[in-house]
Amino acid sequence: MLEFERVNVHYGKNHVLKDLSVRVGEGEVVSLIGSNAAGKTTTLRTALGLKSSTSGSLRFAGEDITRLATHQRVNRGLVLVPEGRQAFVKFTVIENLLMGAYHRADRDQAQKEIDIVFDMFPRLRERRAQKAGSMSGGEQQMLAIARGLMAKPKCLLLDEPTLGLAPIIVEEIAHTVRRLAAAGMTILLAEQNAAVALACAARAYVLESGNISLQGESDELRKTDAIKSLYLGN
Amino acid sequence: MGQLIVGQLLNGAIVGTLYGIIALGVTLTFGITGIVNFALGAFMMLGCYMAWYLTDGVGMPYPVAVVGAVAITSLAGLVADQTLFRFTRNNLVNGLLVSIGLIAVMEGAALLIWTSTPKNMEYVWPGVFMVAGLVVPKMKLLVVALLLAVILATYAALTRTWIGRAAYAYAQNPEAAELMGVRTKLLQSGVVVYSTGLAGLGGALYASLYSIDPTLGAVYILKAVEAAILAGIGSVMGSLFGGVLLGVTEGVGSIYLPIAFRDAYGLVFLVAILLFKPAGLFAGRK
Ligand SMILES: Nc1ncnc2c1ncn2[C@@H]1O[C@H](COP(=O)(O)OP(=O)(O)OP(=O)(O)O)[C@@H](O)[C@H]1O
Ligand SMILES: [Mg+2]
Repeated sequence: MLEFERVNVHYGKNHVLKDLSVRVGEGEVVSLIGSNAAGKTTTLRTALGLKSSTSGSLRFAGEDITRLATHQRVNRGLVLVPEGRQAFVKFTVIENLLMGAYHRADRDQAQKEIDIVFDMFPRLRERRAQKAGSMSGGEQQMLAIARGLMAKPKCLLLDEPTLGLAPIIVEEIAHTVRRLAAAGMTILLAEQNAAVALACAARAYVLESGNISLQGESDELRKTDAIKSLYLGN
Repeated sequence: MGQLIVGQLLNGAIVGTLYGIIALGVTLTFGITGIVNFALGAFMMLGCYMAWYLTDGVGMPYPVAVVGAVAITSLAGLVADQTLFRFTRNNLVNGLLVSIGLIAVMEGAALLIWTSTPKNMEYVWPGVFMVAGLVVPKMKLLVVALLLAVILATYAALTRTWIGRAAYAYAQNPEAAELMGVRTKLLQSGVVVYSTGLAGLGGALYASLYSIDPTLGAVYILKAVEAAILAGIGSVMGSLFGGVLLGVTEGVGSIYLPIAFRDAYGLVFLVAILLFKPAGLFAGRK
């Protein structure tokens, strides 16, 4: 469904993604594991066209999207829940969710999806009229995911949704990702937290300074020494 | 004395809503493109001359001329955006340089074409209303009503439509808005053009009341920026109140204090307000 084909990305002279090839099949949940500055965010931003690649190609749902503008990619169902939540802080929860539906042709009938995400995150329902800026980090992360879902994504990209959150919230987010996966959503999850990443995804890539150093089934990767020592801490 | 005060209040309201409509353009442009478009005063001047030319020169009925003047000013705004402002996004200094350059070009062209001799339009709608023994010129009332209606309609559109919501979202977090599928470049150009159109409308209405000359925009843009700061930049309704407050302070101030310092009263008022509310009167509101 989403394919990076030998993608190269530079920030000035800094070569950040090196011949990156990543593939996410329809209905598949894939993780992108990497430490700080490995290039996870850059990969996802490149997928959405917020950062342009210097070479290589991007395909989405059978179409070459390398040259498309961000809004065109969003229109095709490619949706990113960005690093650091990026809520509209002066908007209420409801207004944030409505912005999620912005690109949809049927955006005036978004109430159904609002109910769905409220069932998924009951805490957001309680805080529906609260300004996003006054909510906790965990709540803002839930809001960011809910806002992403409001877009009715065909493929959902999540950038470190558990970063900086309490273990119990991390568990809740991971649970949500697994529920979405069970419902058939295509997901690319970027994470430093390898335990979460491997628990959510059937398959994963390990990214090290812009290179894929390891890839495979989560069950296999969990057994490798590299993952054990680098990410799982045992 | 009553008539004098009412007259000055009405003048203050007209001048104030004019400040307000340009301040609205200033604040929208700043919120969405990150620059202060000082050339909006020159666009107002263009609106004045177009309305005058289309009525007295071409012979169009005044309402048609107003629509024509707004269209021409917006078109000029579009050209300015695509050739100049497009390259100054979120760059306050470059925006300043470009808009000051644009003022010089537009004022110079107006001087060349229409000379420095002030132009006066034929009375569009002569006559007065008598309200409780006080004289209120009809056209002045109409101008205030039209400007208010446009500012309120803009406010309604910004708070109630998808485009308005997208604009607020973009002002808060440009990249997140882009990720929602907002066409950010279109939004930026749209706001720049809309602001020039507002200035053009202000000018076209101004021309029906006062004599016009190529440099009239300078005072208005300065006051509009003052009004926007007074309100706390980014506040739509605040631009209106800021503008009216300035206009009325100047108008009423001129009754009791020497008229030569009229422009200073608003400024003194601005400084006084900012001493107490440094972020502006409407800080923290939309
Ligand atoms: N806007 C930018 N300008 C310059 N260099 C950048 C920029 N964004 C990222 N980089 C560089 O690109 C490299 C990859 O960064 P990226 O943000 O993609 O890493 P990441 O894997 O998401 O890290 P983290 O876990 O800290 O979020 C880093 O070396 C970083 O310094
Ligand atoms: Mg990152």
